[in-house]
Amino acid sequence: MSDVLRVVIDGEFTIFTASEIRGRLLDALNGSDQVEVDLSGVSEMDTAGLQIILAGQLDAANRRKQLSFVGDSRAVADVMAIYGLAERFAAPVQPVGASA
Amino acid sequence: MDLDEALQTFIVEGRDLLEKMEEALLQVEQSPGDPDLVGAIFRAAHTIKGSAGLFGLDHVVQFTHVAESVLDRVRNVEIGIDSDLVALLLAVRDHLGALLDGIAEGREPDEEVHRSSEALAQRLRAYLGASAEQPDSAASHEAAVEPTSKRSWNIALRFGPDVLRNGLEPLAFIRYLASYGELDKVVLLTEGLPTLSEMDPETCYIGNDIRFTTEADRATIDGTFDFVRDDAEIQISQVDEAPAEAPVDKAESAACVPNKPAESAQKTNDKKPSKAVSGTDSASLIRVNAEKLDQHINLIGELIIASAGIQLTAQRERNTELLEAASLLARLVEEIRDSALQLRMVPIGATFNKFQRVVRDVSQELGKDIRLEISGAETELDKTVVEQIGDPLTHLVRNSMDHGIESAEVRTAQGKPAHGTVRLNAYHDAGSIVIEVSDDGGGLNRDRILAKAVDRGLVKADQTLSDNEVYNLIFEAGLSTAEKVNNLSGRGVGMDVVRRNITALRGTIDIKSALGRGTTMQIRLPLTLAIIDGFLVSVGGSSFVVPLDMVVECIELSEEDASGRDHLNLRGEVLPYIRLKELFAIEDSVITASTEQALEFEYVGPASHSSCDADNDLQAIQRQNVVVVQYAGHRAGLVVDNLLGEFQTVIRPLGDVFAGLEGISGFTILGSGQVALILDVPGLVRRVVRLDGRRHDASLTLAA
Repeated sequence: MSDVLRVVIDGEFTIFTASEIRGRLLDALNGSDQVEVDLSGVSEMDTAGLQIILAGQLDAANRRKQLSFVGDSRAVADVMAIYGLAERFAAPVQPVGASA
Repeated sequence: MDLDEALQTFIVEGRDLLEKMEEALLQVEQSPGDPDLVGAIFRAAHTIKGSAGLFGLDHVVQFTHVAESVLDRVRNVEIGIDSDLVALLLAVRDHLGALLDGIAEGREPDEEVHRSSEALAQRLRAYLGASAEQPDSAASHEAAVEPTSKRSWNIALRFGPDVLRNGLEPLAFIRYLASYGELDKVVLLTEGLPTLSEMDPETCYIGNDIRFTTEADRATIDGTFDFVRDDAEIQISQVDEAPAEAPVDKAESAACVPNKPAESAQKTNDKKPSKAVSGTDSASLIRVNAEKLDQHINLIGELIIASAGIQLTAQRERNTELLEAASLLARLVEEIRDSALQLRMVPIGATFNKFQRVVRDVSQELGKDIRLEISGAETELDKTVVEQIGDPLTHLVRNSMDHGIESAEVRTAQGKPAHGTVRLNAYHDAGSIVIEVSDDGGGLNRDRILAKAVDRGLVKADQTLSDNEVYNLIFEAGLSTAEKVNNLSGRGVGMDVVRRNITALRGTIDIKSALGRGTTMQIRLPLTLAIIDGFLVSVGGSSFVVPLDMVVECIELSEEDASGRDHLNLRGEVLPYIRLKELFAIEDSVITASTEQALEFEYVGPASHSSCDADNDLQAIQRQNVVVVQYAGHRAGLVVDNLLGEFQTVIRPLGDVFAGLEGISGFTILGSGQVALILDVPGLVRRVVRLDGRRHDASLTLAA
């Protein structure tokens, strides 16, 4: 069982930061079979950000890796709500390995 | 795309639209059936809403949407415009102005803003909820009476790959839809989405299928996507709702058959995405940064001084070719100067028009019926002056309305019409612009003003003052003869500020009044603030410039006229004069080398605009000359030593140190490098007239 690699996304998760965040996610997926992305610090999210999330999930599925998105962010929840994706990203989820 | 710039444009154009909206609202009260006016009001709201949506300014969108819905119904003659609705819409306009201000200052809308928006929205909704029947609406009967109907639509959005790159955001459009309808379902389509490793983070791969219910029509929904039309495929089709109503709407008629799901897909890709807010009527206008224009004019000022220096050198060199070239240059520079100053001139009409609203509001506050008349709206003046004249004018108008115009009872008792009239007038006069605020009210009460002034210690009880001087006392701080003080005026802190503001613009204000008949406040302002045509004179060793537009003529001062008295006989007219040498305490100077140069070689303008010729004869220092000047209908003579000719120059303001200096309004630098002071002709003329008046009154009293 490989370690869970945590990626924390803070601040803007938008077209302005999409490229950089994509790079970090790719690195994480390359470096581990289990990646957990903490979105609780996301202040703003747009379609570009959402695409990253969805594309990431595709990638992970293809490569049989585990990619989960956790954390309670208002910005993220709003976007998810509009697109009706709330169930897929039910929050809050306890991060793997977090201590009480 | 620079968002900040775009937002600035949105605010500027939004404010323009609000102005148009207000104008139209004030007019539509008189002509409620006028479709152009109603159309203008509707378009203002509609356009602001559209652009606000683009910037994600949801609170503006939501608020404006309700207003737009009401206006749409007015447009469709479903509800009529009456003075209540106009009042409400004016309040809406004001609120929108406040919202724009908040955005301009970068403020997030707070609780209070939301509450105000909601309060107004509630009042607006009252016009939407009621049935649309208006049996006595003046317009045609063929316009269908359409009850409110919510319809459901399927909207298919297939975004192109560059949507995100171009600064557009699908979520914004969806949120915008939510502001005027219900999103029954939003489906995210991700067929084209590649894996994370294959994707380009800035390319858009998604689409949406939306089911949307709203009262808005297809055109409105379609209009939502104006800005993304080039980058997306948009299909809007109606899902038929309850069979009860069959809306009589031309666009729908082909598609709608009751009880059958009607779908008419319409590809809506004929419109090009337009820039934020479409500008005003004329395509031949451009917006220019006011600062750039000022810099431009400053540079021209420098150009003028440099050109004057060239004249000087050309004359000294006595080179004919050079002289000709310098002369040509001067002429061209003069033309550029005039045209540049023209750029800054705007008609005063726009400012005057704002007062329609002021008069209307204040009339209501005071419970008086007061009408505003405007003339001379096309009179042009410098842009900066226009901006600064607003406050003083407002105070004067309010004063007229509050204190000038009597109540209806008093008026009718005097045989005057029950309604009062305030009149704004503007015209050009000898290099100045004159703005008048008149009323047909009760006029100024000389005795009461004098009594109050004596009471306040401003005037000694035994002082003799002319009528004019008494009237001018109202400009003294703390003097108000208003019987009632209300929050409009009467506290006596207004008129002194008004005069100060006008003096700051190098203008003057005069009062004409007739008891029982009315009062006129006459403001005079120089047409140009920066560059003037001047006439150079010397007094002792100093040089002075007299603004050419106030110069009437120049004459010699005969020995007879010079001896001890202060008047001279100008072809039968008695002309009072001042000796500048005395006024400024200038000593008879030793003629220095530089003065000699200035005296001999000062440039004479290409075409003599006045009847004064340069006097280059050094011998003539013994003889004195009088420059006859005129201002506001009064004439005076300024006794000087030498007349040195015309030239144009840039006025430089004196520093604050010289703020109290009387008789001087600025300085300039001559081509020779010497400093010349610019005479404050209005001030000097007043001084002469005042002295004259006192002497006149005094001699009358003596004679009596």
